[in-house]
Amino acid sequence: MATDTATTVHDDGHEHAPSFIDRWFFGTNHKDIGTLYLLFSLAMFLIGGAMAMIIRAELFMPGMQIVNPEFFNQMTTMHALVMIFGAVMPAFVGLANWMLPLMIGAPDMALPRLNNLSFWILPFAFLIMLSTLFMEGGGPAGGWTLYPPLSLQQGNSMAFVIFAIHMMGLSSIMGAINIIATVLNMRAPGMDLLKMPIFPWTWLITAFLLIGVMPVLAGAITMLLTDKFFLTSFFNAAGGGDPVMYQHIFWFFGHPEVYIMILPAFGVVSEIIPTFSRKPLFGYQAMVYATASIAFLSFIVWAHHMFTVGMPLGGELFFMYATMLIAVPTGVKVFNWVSTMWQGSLTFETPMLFAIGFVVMFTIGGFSGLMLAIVPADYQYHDTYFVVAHFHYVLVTGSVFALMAGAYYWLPKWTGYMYNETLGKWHFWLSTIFVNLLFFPQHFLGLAGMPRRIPDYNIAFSDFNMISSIGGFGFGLAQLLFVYVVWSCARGRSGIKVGDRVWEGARGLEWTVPSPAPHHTFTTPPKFDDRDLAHGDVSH
Amino acid sequence: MIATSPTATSAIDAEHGADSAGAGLSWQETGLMSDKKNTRGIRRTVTVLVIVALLVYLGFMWQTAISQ
Repeated sequence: MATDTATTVHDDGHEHAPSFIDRWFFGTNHKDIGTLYLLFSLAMFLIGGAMAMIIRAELFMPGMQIVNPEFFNQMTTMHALVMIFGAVMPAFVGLANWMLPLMIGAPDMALPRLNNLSFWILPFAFLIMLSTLFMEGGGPAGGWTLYPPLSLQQGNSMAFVIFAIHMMGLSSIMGAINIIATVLNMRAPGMDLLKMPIFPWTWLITAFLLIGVMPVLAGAITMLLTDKFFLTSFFNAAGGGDPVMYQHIFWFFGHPEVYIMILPAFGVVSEIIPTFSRKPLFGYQAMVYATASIAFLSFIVWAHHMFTVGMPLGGELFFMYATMLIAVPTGVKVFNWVSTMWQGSLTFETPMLFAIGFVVMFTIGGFSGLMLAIVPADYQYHDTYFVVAHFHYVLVTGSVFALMAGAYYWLPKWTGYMYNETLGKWHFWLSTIFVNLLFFPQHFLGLAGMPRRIPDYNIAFSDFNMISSIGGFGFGLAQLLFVYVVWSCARGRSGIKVGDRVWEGARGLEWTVPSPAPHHTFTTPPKFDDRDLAHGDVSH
Repeated sequence: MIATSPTATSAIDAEHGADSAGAGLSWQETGLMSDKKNTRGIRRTVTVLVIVALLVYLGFMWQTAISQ
């Protein structure tokens, strides 16, 4: 383990300690709000995970065992909504809140009160959304995409779901505005945009994506609401509306949304790999431009989610080629991560293990994405378990693994204590083995023709489903280990205090403040040395 | 408000030597990011972004409505 023992005096700088209520409910400190976001997303991760366990338990064997089909559909829908809007997105916002000001040398976020509001909208939004499971007719059951006409046939709980999604969207937009305002206006003197660490860069681009597409989702579900309750017919074919129009609008939001969940993950991994390779990031500027290219391309590929609706051939070809084009900047990134490691002085602490796991398994998800981009092949894969396998490789072994990597990487900076490295490594290996057991067989199920979102299936799919469920239970249990590691680290159970620069190879402003990071940092502008940037001196 | 104590800047000084041009000065005193300029910049950024978000929201609904 690579720690050093810098001995900067730590002082919270408080003249008086705020009360618990003042600090955690009304506080505007970016670190506290970051902590709230991270704890909230962990809770949502466990709730969404519990729903996944119900799904996998039902699919353990063919036939109906545990739940009825209506509830199964509610579980698949809620699992997705909770994981996307409640777990992955808020987790990255939590990392942004904690680390962005520390990385760019700012004293706080640009709009601290808005920051507090952005967070506190979320718990209420999710209370409203989860409460629909107990309403007459149950919660949403038509999939997280809420496609009409199915979603229009749902009970009145639909209004609550739409209201909750509006609140989440509002929270995301406010958070994005805050991040853009912070990065553009509050960087330390001398920190030009192209000297900024990669994580703030990826978040800056992600924030622009959020501003560009969250209002589109809001528009789509507002129209869905008026179709359902106010007799309009935007998407209702019976009244002259067009359900396919909804799909176009939804996926104009939905595809960039995928990148909203993966670009910050790229940023986290781009911070971790140089640290444990003890080398500057290879191709820093190429990484920045690749991130921007991916963000741009994400706006012109949406219809690859709906090749089978009956588009003109020219449209299908355009979306196929545009989608394949994304492999180029993504390939640049993977090449740069590998090149950063090349001939580096590598060590394999838990954050690095998760980062390498990310690179390998995200690439598997990327390749299956390329397969899905091919129009004639997609006619076979569409709406099968192959799609489920693909996006779980991207989102679980991609986004979630990067979140785990980031949590282990920065946990000592947040708590002042080193986590239990042995348990961290157990967590990584158990997660890696079980997550592949969970999702890899789903490729075969999809290729064999098993449709997604079904509670029962042909007996021919039994074996792979059983293997997948065993992997699911194992992966779920392994995450309890993560919860224990975080809890024990926060309580200082390891007893190993860390210095400012927790990792020997770490570079950047966040490693110049004490551990745990004081409540207020950079109250005066920091001076930094270009050679200390994680990506090396880019001035020549 | 913020009560300062050993700040990050002093930590940086300890590491890089005391040759820190901005060290010890407040954000306003550096002149690079005066409070006024900073506030104006943030206000402009927020205004533009809120307008963009509203335009996207209303624009998409408008476009959908007239395309029916």
